Amino acid sequence: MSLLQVKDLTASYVIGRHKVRVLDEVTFDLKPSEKMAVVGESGSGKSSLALILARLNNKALIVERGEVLYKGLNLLNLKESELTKFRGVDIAVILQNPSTALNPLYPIGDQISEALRAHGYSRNEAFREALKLLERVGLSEPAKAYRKYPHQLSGGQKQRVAIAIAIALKPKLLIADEPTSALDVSTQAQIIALLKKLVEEDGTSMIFITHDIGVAYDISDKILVMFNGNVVEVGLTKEVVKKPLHPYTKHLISSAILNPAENRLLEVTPENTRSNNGLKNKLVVGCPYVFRCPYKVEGLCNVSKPGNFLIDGRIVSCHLYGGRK
Amino acid sequence: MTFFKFLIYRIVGIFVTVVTIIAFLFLLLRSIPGDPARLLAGFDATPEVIEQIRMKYGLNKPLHEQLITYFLNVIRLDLGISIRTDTPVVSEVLSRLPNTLTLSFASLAIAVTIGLPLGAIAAVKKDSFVDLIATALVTLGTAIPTFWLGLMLILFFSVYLRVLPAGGTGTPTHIVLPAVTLSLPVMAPIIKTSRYATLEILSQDFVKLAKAKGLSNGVVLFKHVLRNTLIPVVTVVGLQLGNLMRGAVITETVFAWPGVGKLVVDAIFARDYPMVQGAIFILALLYASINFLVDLTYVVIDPRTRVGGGQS
Repeated sequence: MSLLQVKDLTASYVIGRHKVRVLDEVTFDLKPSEKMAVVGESGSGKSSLALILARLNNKALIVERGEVLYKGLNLLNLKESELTKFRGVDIAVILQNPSTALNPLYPIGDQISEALRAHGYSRNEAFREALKLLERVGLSEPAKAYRKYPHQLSGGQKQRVAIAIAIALKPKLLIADEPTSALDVSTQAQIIALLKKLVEEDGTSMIFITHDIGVAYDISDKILVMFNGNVVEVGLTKEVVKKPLHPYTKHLISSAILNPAENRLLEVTPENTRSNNGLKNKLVVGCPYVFRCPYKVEGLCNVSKPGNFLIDGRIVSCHLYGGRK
Repeated sequence: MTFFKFLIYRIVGIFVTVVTIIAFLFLLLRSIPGDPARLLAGFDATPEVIEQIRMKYGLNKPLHEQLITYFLNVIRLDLGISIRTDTPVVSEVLSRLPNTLTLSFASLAIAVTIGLPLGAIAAVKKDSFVDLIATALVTLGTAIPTFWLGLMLILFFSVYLRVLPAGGTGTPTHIVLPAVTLSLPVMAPIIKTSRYATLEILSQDFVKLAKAKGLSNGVVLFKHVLRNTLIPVVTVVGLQLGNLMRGAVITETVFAWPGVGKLVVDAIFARDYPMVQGAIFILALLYASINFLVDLTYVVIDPRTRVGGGQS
């Protein structure tokens, strides 16, 4: 039984008469307590995916097709007022930048307890629970921290507060949009360890968006690789990292130093320095990765879009595996 | 910097501002052509009579002596005797001040109670009809001169419809037209700032997170958006106080409203130096003090401005 099923999710940014496709038939599912990482470079559509799943996308980001089924219920059909019941309790989010995610005018404790109070807690219960949460996310002297304002905390502390808000109601699903990208490296490691521990304790499923395949490796059971709005590979994290199938996944993994002993340096080639933004306005007929792919087959990859092939329990979208369906 | 230091700093600032204004005004007034003694004595007065009047008001002394005498008197809260009416300036100004304050606060109240929500609604419902109205009000409020608007309102409501009095005081209806007239130029920047600030804040991450917590739309807007919108709006209200006083001078004249503004205009025409100086002194003191209060409201709204609260 899946907790979340995403089917053929297709979305575009529409600004005036301009339309840019950001998600193209994104399909995956997530089981209870499963931790899935979504990896991809800037502009791959991973953050847009997170926003749509949480229904926090702004008006310019329009879902054209597809379903987001939470326990069989299509979230995309819910009205804003119906969503408030699910938000916080079933689905919670952690945003990328902790410095902008907290309201500068209210004490942090108040921002935690208001989430509880919106879902039935009394003032006192919410206060006591917020103190417990502050303790759980590792802020010392919770009673003192409760009354602090965001500007009095460091980036790492603010992200801990954001985590406390996210886990306050023990949500079934946590969507974390690059929660460590705005932090320095040593803080990153602490935050990831904390997040992993908390979701495992509560049995929360997590979708963790990141551009850092090393971080994805540390935190996830399952990995979903995106390129230019398309899902190119989905599989168990350990297997994908050990033996990537899709050419883009191979490229991503070779660009990260997973094992310091190997100490491979990133090869800088025109392919990995070039932004793919220029491609987005063109209607891509063939494989989205064809412009960069070293294995492309002329007359096939640039003509038809590859289907999703199931290889050893993994889904890969590449013509190379077309024969072994 | 502690809060106490901040207070001292600001109070010294008010003092310096007011002293500068008095000195500047003193010299400016005496550089306009026209002689108060001659105006008071009338056309057919003999030179001896004019000289007597000059001596009575100390106008025959050198300029710097007059200025020093004036400062010494101000310190003793003696603003002199009006040349035109022969009454003490202090009592004359203070008797008119409540009228001006009533008019100013009524206008400010109209400007804020309409401007702040209108700007916020225009932002929430961007590109809607309300947004169009708000934008139109901003343009009109900025472009229409106060005296023209006053005259047009009198023409329409007093002369044509005959529902509101054209001028003077007496009943509560007397304040409607002058207050509306005075409020429009002040409302325009408030609408504009409120709209712009709300748009900016609506796109902030903390608003997204507030929604993601499952808070109702009302709580998100009133608790998380509106209070943040207030910060730049308070700044604009502070800046508009000057505009309000300038507008009051014109509006009071148009509507024959017996306030300090009209008093100043009459006094300028009569070259009534003590009266002009005294009235401006009190207005300047008031303006500087209200701006000081505005600065204090930041401290209430925005915890980041609470000095000394940075460390734990």
